[in-house]
Amino acid sequence: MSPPTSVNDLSHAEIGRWLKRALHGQEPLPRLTPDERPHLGILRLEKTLKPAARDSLRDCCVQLVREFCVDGRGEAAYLEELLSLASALKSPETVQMLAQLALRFPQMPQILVEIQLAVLAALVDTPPPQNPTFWESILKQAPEKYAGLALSGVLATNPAQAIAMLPAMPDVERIGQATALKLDLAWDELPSKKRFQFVQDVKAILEHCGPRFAGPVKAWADSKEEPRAATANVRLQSLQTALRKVCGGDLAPRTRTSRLLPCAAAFA
Amino acid sequence: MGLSPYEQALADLGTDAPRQVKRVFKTWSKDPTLGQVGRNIAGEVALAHADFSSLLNSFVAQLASGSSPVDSSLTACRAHKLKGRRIPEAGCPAIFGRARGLDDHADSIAKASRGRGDLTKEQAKKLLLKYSGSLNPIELDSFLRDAPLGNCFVWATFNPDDPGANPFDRLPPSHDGICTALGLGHLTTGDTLIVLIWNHGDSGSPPVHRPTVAEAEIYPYYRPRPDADALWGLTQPLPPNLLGLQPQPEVVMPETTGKGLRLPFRVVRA
Repeated sequence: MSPPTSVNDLSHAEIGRWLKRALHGQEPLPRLTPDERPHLGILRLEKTLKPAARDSLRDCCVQLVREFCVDGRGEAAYLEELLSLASALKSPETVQMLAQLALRFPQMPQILVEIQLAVLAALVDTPPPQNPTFWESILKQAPEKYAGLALSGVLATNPAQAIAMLPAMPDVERIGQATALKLDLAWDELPSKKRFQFVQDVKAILEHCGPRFAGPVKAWADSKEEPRAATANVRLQSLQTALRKVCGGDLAPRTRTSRLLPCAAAFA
Repeated sequence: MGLSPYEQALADLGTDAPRQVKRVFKTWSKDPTLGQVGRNIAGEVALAHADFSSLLNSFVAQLASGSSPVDSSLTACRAHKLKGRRIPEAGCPAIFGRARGLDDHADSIAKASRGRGDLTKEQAKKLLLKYSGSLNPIELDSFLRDAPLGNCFVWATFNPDDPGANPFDRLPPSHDGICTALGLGHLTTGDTLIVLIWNHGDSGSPPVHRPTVAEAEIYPYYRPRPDADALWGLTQPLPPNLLGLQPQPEVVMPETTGKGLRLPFRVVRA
């Protein structure tokens, strides 16, 4: 019986076999907690490998994705780990293969819905992003099933177009809650001068959405206006104070004139 | 001195099998990770005699079928989960807590949201970072409560002096301090932790067990507590443990959701 071999000392073919076992949770991995998912241990190990072994591991991951994309077969738990690893390793080739696979979902009923959603989630999370046309065709396949991920995909590249998709969302409160969170993240990433219009556009389209879906999204949009109003008040008070310093103490009545209010709004 | 539980269980296997087991452990001793796993199995005292014999028997049967020693060990362990002593419900702590990788928990949230809003892992991660420390994580709350607190099993700690208190209140708040006290190894600078606290009753009161080598599988930072009668395990703080942190209670339970989660959760960066 020979002692265990380091991954650094394995051949390319051996790394391929090792990776498959590791994704099945059958290899010792540097896990942070005993129950941590295998792909996270593989990623931690990958950072410590010598360049040749690391390249092999990355190539083998692409190869395993390629095998999966041929017929979509594989044990669900293994495929979940493989897709998570592939997403984290960010190979453009993997993204391309998964995108092509997703377009063929209707011809591949053997792929479990869980795995289909995992493929689409990997495509949302992994650069380069797919264009809105891709997500439109995914949405057309099964609007009820793929709406949430298609929205995420479009939101990443074209927030305005994503807003236009909202009326197509299923009228389900939970989906509304998730959408509110996704819009919140998109809002965070927008330049500050575009945020106000983004919220206004969301509010304007909600009348075309189902009430259960629209409820949480409206609550989010309203919450984005509250801090703005509060900020505007603070800034208006600062402006009043500054003007008082410049013009003297009798300024207060004049700060309420219509001439000044547009200026205050501009500061807000 | 009498035989240890391991030696007693080994004695049940006949004549050849113990030699096989010992040969595997001797080979493993050349590898730091597997060497520790072998020592942990030999030092385990929390399994009943019948369960320990059954675990070793399964290990030997797998070896005989041609499986690798690691595969054999994993198969044997996976067939003997939650066999450690169960903490009686009446004496169960009200509050449990755990630390896990942020990526791992983001994965759990994403998976639990499939077909129910479909947050992706990266979205979940950004939201966890954004709402860390918040008592009102708005719409994220329901997704947090749907997500499991662990994968297949939940490892947890508690405060034995005040079982209704947050166990992390008595630990250092830093990443290093938490990992040291809880014996969470393999840490890299890229690892971010999330600290989760939950009410056991609100989570459905799943059975709470003392952990054994069966749940630890090939995780080398687990240490069997030498006291066979203790109701729970103890972590082994990581060296160098400059603050002299004490071992913390350690239990394991079946996978349970964050239904009883106490806010705020906390993300701790390295």
